Amino acid sequence: MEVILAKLLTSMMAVAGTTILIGLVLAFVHQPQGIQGLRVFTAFTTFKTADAPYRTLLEIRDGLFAGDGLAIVQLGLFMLIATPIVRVCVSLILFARVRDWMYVSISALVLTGLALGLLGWIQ
Amino acid sequence: MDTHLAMLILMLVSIAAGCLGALTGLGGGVVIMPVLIIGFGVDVRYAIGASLVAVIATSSGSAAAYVRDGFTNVRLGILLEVATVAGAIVGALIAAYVNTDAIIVLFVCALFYSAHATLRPPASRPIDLIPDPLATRLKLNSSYPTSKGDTPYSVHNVPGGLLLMGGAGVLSAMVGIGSGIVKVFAMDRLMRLPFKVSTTTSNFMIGVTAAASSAVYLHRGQIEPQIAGPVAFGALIGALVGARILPRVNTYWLRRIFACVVIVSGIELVRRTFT
Repeated sequence: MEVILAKLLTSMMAVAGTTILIGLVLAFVHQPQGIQGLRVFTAFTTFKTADAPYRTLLEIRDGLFAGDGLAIVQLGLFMLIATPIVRVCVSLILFARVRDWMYVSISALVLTGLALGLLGWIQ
Repeated sequence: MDTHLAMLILMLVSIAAGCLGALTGLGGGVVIMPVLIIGFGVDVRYAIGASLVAVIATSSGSAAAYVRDGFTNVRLGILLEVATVAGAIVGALIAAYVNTDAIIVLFVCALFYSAHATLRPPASRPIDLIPDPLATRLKLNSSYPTSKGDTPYSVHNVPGGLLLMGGAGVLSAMVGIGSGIVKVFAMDRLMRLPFKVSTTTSNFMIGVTAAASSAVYLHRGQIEPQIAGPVAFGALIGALVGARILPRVNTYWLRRIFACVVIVSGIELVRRTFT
């Protein structure tokens, strides 16, 4: 059972990593003027909340349709962040299989906290 | 600096950070943060966002291996994660209102403590088998593989552990590190677990804690793909390489040199912030 978990996680990380790489290569090569061109690095010396790109899945989707490499990168990052969350889900399922309801509930509690953050309901 | 070049250099540095993180257990965060802030002049908030993603990348890879090998106490990890996730969300929220200079000071303190803890040998003591009623109720006592076969151990001081884990979560979210050191400290000293169980279970938890805070940072627009992208990819590759070569590397001197470099970068960070 642990072996399946390990394999699942490594494949998720591989997919996330590849997505990020594809996005980076695209952004490098393509330099779209559309939604987000590559900004010169000095633009990051000050933090502007209104300026940051791709904060939600909807924005990422729009960016994907526009062919922006950075949207692909952000998608990959989203997948990377989701990997530990998936791991908790799998643990929950494994606990349910052995009928350990105490830990099913505890895992559900952890997932709730993670979901609150991931769905952007906490800002 | 030209953006292409910057992203390339950033990726290479992140590969090194991920590799060192996997080899020394000092994590990608403590390397990425100074590099971004000192080396590239990036604002602290973007740096933390990128660093948190790097932490997920560095830790998730090795965590899978340890669960498979039977060292990680999964139930304990999940239970403590309730506290770390809560702490991480609280920390991520209040970080928006904290002065960046204060964040840097906090980071440097965590940095120094991590370096110090790396150099200190683990507490050597016989395994405490006297069961703690709360831990038994929570099904936390377990065993781990040793040269003598499966050795049982018991867990203690669950409330204290939860409290410290909450603190570790807050720290992790405010400062962009994995707080693995705090977690190991709590499990090793407070909860009296065998050291290998502490380190592997801590690794198991770090990814989840970082994911909780990363999500908040993502929605607040503090994860910038041009920075976090190269960092995350580099750290992923680096951690994979590091985990591969770990059995063949003598980490004794590596950890010492690394700790010194980390301390120096902390001093430099403070100097730049306050002069």
